Amino acid sequence: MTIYKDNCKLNKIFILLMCFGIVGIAGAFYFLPIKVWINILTANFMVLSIGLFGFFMLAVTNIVGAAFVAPYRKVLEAMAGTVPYLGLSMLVILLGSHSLYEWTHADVVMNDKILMEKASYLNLPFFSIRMVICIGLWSLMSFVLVRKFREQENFPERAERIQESLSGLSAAFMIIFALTYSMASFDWIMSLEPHWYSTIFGVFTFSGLVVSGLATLILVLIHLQHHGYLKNMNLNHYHDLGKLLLGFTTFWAYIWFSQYLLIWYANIPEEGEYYVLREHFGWSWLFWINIVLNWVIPFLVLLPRWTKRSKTVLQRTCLIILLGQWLNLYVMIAPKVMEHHGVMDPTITWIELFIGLGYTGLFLFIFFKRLSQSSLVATNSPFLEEGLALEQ
Amino acid sequence: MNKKYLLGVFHDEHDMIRAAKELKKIKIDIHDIYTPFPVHGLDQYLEIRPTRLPVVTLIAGTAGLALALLFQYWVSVIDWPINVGGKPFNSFAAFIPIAFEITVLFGAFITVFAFLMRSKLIPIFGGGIMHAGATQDRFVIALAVKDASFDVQSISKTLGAFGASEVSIKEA
Repeated sequence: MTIYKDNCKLNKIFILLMCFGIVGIAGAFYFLPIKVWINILTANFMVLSIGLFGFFMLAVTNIVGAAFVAPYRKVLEAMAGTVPYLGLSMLVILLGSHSLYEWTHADVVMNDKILMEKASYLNLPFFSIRMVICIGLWSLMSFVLVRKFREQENFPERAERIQESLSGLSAAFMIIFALTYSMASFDWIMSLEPHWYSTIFGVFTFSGLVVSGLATLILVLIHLQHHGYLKNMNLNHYHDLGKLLLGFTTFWAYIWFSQYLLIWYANIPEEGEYYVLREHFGWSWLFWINIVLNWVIPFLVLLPRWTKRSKTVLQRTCLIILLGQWLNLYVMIAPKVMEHHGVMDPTITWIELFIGLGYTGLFLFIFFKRLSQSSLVATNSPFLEEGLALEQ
Repeated sequence: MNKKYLLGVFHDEHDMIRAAKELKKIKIDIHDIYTPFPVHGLDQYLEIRPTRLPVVTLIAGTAGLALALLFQYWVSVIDWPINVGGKPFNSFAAFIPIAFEITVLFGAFITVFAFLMRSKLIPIFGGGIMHAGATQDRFVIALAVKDASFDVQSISKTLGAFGASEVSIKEA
């Protein structure tokens, strides 16, 4: 089967998940309105990052001419194809900007010397413009990559030349992506704590993007193979993805620690407040579980060779990692916003679960729609043969 | 007593793999195969059991980690405590970078040395080069000539038939 048939039953499940999301949002409005915006920001940023992982992976493998992704390149294209939609839904947080961002309150800014000086950057009009530009650029770049690949599929005689032009184009895209993703993380998440700053923050959110994207990719591939698609992929492909996952969870831990160590060592009040808030005031258990889920468990599990070649083990590890990455974002976002609103509720309730599931449903719905729009085989890719014949 | 080996030297890795498969089929024990680069899948044809090298790496890395942490604890808490910015003497976070580096150092070096020792690539551990070509661009199958039942002539012919450019006897 080379074409993914849209599965009605699955679509119904995704729509049901989205309904859960709406119930979750409604429930949050009723019980604790600030949780609406916290959860929308967390969940939407996460699924948008997973979509962007598709774009990132395509661009990186184009630059270096890597063949190992060729067998599932179309899956990455479908992931990249979700970016415009999830980017659009990200704009919703502009409605909640007043609840989320302290610097949108004119009276607070007036009485704060630091915020006054930052006001030329942290103001709502400029913030909105940057947001639209970031999302616009990501959508455009994903669109161009996917279109070029489609052209390659349709014109075999130009396939090689298109691949060559893609590597130059991807290099330019990668620079734009690095700058915009870093800026978006600064704007959307770091500015929740406008006094605090960390120059490595963009790298940290990027490491989360790669880890959660890889985990999603592996889960989707296992699902597709289970249903009889992508028959010519073998365990060597999973082994490679498992190795990348092991590497990038460790990269995530490395960056997490780099940020922590420097702030702990320097011990400057305006930097340290970030960790003081999270290691105390009831947040510490989530703060430490985050590291267990995102690094300790995946690292120990994925270390031996056989676990990376076992679909069951990979599947479970990926689910743990996705949960961990969501928690990672939640711990980045929630504490300060709650403190700002005078509530401290370091618990994960059904509201978090429902809104999380809602965005999962939204992502999967768009993803599988995009996947069903063209063949699952990257026809005419100069790397296809080499990618399929992967040996360990 | 010197051991004798029959060497089949190939220009092409695929010829060599075909020959190795044929030898396997007619039940001739292959002593070893020497190649200038790792040939994928060769360990399957030779039915070599999976390498135990990862275990060595794990033990070496864990030892490095433990040693680095203990040493730093001894230095900064027991032997010579220094107050750095009012931080506690036993500051785990400050120990991590060095512990990480020592883990990698131990893991990497001990793995490499264990590999060289086990594969007899260090001269003093019984090394010696079976055929100089294998260090450059040839693929060499070595068969141990054990007793009279080993028919040198017919096996040489088999090797030649599979494209061996050179068949020779080596005493080591």
